[in-house]
This record gives sequence, structure tokens and C-alpha cells, in this order.
Amino acid sequence: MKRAAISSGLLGVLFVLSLVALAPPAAAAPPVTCNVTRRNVLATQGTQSGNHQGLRSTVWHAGSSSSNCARVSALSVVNGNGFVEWLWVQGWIFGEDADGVCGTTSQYSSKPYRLAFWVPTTGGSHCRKEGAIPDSDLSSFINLRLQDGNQDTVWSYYIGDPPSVGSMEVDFNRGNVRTNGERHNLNDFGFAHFKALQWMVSGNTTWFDFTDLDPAGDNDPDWNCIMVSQKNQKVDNIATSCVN
Amino acid sequence: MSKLRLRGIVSGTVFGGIVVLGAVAILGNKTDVPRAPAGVYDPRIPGVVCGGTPWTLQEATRAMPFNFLYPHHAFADAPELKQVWRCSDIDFALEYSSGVVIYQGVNTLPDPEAVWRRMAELYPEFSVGTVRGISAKLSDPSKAVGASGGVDFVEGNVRITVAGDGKIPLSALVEIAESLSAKA
Repeated sequence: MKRAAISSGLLGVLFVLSLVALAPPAAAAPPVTCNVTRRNVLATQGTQSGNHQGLRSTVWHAGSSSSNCARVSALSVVNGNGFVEWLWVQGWIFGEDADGVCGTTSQYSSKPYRLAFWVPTTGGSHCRKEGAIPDSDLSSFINLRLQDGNQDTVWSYYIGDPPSVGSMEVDFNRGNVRTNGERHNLNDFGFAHFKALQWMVSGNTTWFDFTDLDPAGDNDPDWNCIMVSQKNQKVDNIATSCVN
Repeated sequence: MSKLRLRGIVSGTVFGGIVVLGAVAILGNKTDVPRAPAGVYDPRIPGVVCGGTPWTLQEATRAMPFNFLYPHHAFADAPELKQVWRCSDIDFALEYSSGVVIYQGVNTLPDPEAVWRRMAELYPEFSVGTVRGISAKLSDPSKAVGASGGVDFVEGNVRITVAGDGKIPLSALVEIAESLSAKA
């Protein structure tokens, strides 16, 4: 009887172990080392008039890498409490399982992955995933554009020329443009490069070259705003050369 | 097979299963729970309101082309004013120690009420209400990840936004908006 109970107990252990082994593996999740406040290196066009309604640039897209938490290159427009952003991220795309908003489940992308990300004034964060870039575009410059050309509070984003890839509806139709090089771990690679920077002023659908590249904030201890020219800006780990 | 033997087999199997499941539960919970970084994919330096630059109230009153309104509420009153921020040529912000930020700027929306209604259609955190007798967009911070919460309205030619910190309830933010007056 005792022997029967022991051998049955072992049978039970083996049975449950086999169920556990056959169960589908839990989805991968961002490590806690990625849960750190962002570091941004930001630049803008001159006077913050609040009347910018578009930003476009030829943006460097990285090659494939598996060593980043979340490394970002973005074109943005900020208005008070809200903003719109058209970006690529390399690393973790945070989903609801990690208190993020980009889908139900977090995913890791070793290739640059495009996102539209926006916050209406006083509202929540919103995210739309637009996919990893194709292999043929790795380690290359690609034209990106973000604009509310008709000032109807709908911001469209593009790869190259129209038609748009998608749009973000918010409650502002202009703001201050920003280039954003962002990372979430001090081991992340922070390089970014924005060439042929142009902006659009509200009420006018013409694109104007940046004529006064200015720093707009930098809390990164290692990576800095570098002015190659007034319309060509990098984020690099050398001394800053962007001045007001 | 005797009943006794069968009972032995069943209880042994159940006991063994409990041991394994318990081990899985304990070991499974040993890993840290990951969370998205505070403020991810955000083009503003943390702590810098509106991505702007520090200002004084005197500079703001000299530069802005409209008369200001000031709050009179426990969460936002003159002694609690922490910093004034220049957001752009046409708008600025008053930041209070409580975490409340009040934005005031030239309105650029041709039809604000239509925009408030559209926001309420699209996003669960927004609704449309009446504050100070004016149609206002209300944002409940408990209804969306990352929402500061707030009250947004246009009075005359000025757009005013009373924003919270994500924790201050909407009811308090409405009270702050109602308390605004030209008296400093």
C-alpha cells in the first residue's frame, strides 16, 4: 500500500511535469534593466513660434542589432501638454503586459521598427505599429515626414512622398518641431542622424530648410547634439556643437 | 485492482501534482516584473514642462498678447507656484507644486467644440462638459495610460488647459478651472 502510494505519487509528478513541459512558453518580456527613465537629445528650428505644422528629414536607420533596450530616432511636434511623433525604435516595443500601449504583448525588434506615437492634450498615450523596415533599408537614410498640412488636427506621417502611411488625430494643429534621439539604458547605442531638415509653417504648405538649428534639451550624459550644418544634425558621443 | 490500491494511486497522483504546481508557481514568480519606462518615446526632457524654457511671471505678462487668468484653489494658488515656462511665442505654462500645470495660449482651433466632440468619440479618457459656462474637453486620468487628466477650453481668444499629474482626480481639476480669475 505504501509502495503503491509512493509510486503513484511519482507517477503524478511525472504526469504534471510533462504537462508543464508541453505548455506553450510564456511570451518574452522586457527586462527590468530597461525600466529606466529616457535620455533625450533634442534639436529644433530656431525661435519656438508655436506655429510649426510639419517636419521632414532624411533619417538614418540603423542596421540589425540585439543589444538595445529601446533606442529611438524620431521626428516630433510638441504642443503644450501633447505631442505627435513618427519614429523608429530598435529594441523593446512596450505592450500592455509591461504597462506600455503598443499592443497587448511587448515585442523585441533587432531591426528598426516604425511606430506612430501620440498624446492628445491631457490625454493618454497612443501607439500604432507600422512594422520592421525591410532588410534592403538597413543601415541607410530614408525620407520621413510628419505634417498637419491643412491644420485640421490630423497629423499624417509618410515614408518618402505621399500617400501617407497613416495619421494621428489630436487636438492641436501646430506646435514646435523636434528631432529626438532617445534611449532607455546607458548601454544603448545613441547615434542618430537627421539630414535635409525642413519644416512647414502653419498656414503655408511650403517646406522651408532649417536655417537656425538649435539644441532643445539634452539629459544624456554621453551623447550630444552635433551640428553638421544648419539643416544637418547628428547625435554622437563627442562634444556638442549645437548652440543657441 | 482493489479499492484501497486505487485510492492510493489517486491520492499519490494528486499529491505529486500539487508539489510540482507549487514549485512552478514559486519559481515562476521569482523573476522581476518588467514595466515600460516612465515616459517612453517622448520628445521632451523629463521635468521640462511643454519642452519649454524657464521664465518669470513678469516676462510672461510682458510677452503674451492676452490677459492671464490665475487659479485660487488648494492645489493651485500663488504661494504654490513653482515655475513659469515659456512654451512658445504664443503660449506659456504655470507649474504648481501639487503637479498641476495651467497652460494659456492664443487659440488656433477654428471650432474647439467640434474638436472636443471628436476627441470624445475617439478616446475613452475624454468627454465633453461645461466649465465656466463654456463647452470644455474633460480628461479622466484613470481611463488611459499616460493621461495627465485635465480640463481644456477656449475663453475669448485664449485656450486654457488645466492639466493634472495623472493622479489628481478630474473633479479637482474642474474646481481649479472654475476658480480661475483675472485676480493674481
